[in-house]
Amino acid sequence: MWRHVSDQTLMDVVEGAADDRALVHVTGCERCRERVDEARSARGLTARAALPEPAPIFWDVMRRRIAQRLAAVPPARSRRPLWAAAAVAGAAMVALATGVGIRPTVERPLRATSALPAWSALPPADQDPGLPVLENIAPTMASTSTSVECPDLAECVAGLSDDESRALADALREKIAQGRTL
Amino acid sequence: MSAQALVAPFPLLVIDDAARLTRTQALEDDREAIEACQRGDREAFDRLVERYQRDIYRLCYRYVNNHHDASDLAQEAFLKAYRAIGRFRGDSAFSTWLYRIAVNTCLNFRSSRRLPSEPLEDDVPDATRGVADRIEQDELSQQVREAVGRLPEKQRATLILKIYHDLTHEQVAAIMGSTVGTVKANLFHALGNLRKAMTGRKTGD
Repeated sequence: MWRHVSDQTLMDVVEGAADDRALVHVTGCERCRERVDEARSARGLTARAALPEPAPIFWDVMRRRIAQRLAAVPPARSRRPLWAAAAVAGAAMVALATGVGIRPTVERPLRATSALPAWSALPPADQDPGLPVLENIAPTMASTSTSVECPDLAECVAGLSDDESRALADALREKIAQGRTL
Repeated sequence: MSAQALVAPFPLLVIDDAARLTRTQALEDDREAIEACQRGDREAFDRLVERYQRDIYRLCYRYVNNHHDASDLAQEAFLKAYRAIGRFRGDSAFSTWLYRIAVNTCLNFRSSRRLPSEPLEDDVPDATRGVADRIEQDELSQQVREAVGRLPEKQRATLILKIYHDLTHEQVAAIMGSTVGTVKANLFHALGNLRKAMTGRKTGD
């Protein structure tokens, strides 16, 4: 039974990627051959449709415009699910309580782009009156922290968004306040 | 025998290797810039803009056929990409992801402007017009661009991405959210309709 080949196969013929069977058909089929010729001709036409090139300075102008418009957009950040933020907050509390993980073994300079600082106003660990309170709640938080894939706590906390940092700070303050009223 | 000596008689191999290295380096640069953006570094996004603004602008120009709208649409596409970059997971190349955003931006723009995509008859060049005019390269370019701009949406997108941006069928399929077979069929229809438009025949699909 004589059947025309599909448009997909005809495109393969135009691009020189068709198999022998398709080529044999197109060679012997006037209608398919005509369609392939039309497509090839159109392809030749497209090559002649050059775009007018903007002035070289245009690219700098466009970059500046984009940068200006980006300034009004909140910084892009990788979004984490809420459970991840809660888990990181728990891990941070455990670390605060035990004094482990907050300060890396190797001293590293602070990152210029660090977004942490929502809770950095807390006093140093050795002067923090809330620390004994945190030590009391640490065991309950430990179960949460085990599910966190966060080998470097400082790195995880450094990756928090502003909202997550604020949530962490609020959680810490709430726990400290609860501890003080006990 | 050194590797250089082995390669030297076959300069094409050197070119291939260089191209592969360049591509690998570009992907690595993209990855670093994206990760920096995801940490909130706006300036890192400028590197991505610098790298892709020409491609995105030209893609938009092919859609709207004028500099002013193409410039606005390219900027809009980059802003959308920046807002969404926190959700970019690297499942596809950044360029594929960015192209997809740009294509959608162009389609939304045309939709909001209700620009006609069919039929082509109104702008089909009259075969009886002056031959001198027809052979002017600038005019022919303009005619082809206009004919491309009036193709049905998917055919136009496929043709622009495949022919003018030299993407593979697989890349176009990823951008369009379709299959390679559909991309080839759309491209074939697009070329057929373009040819008919340029020869003054009524289009059919």
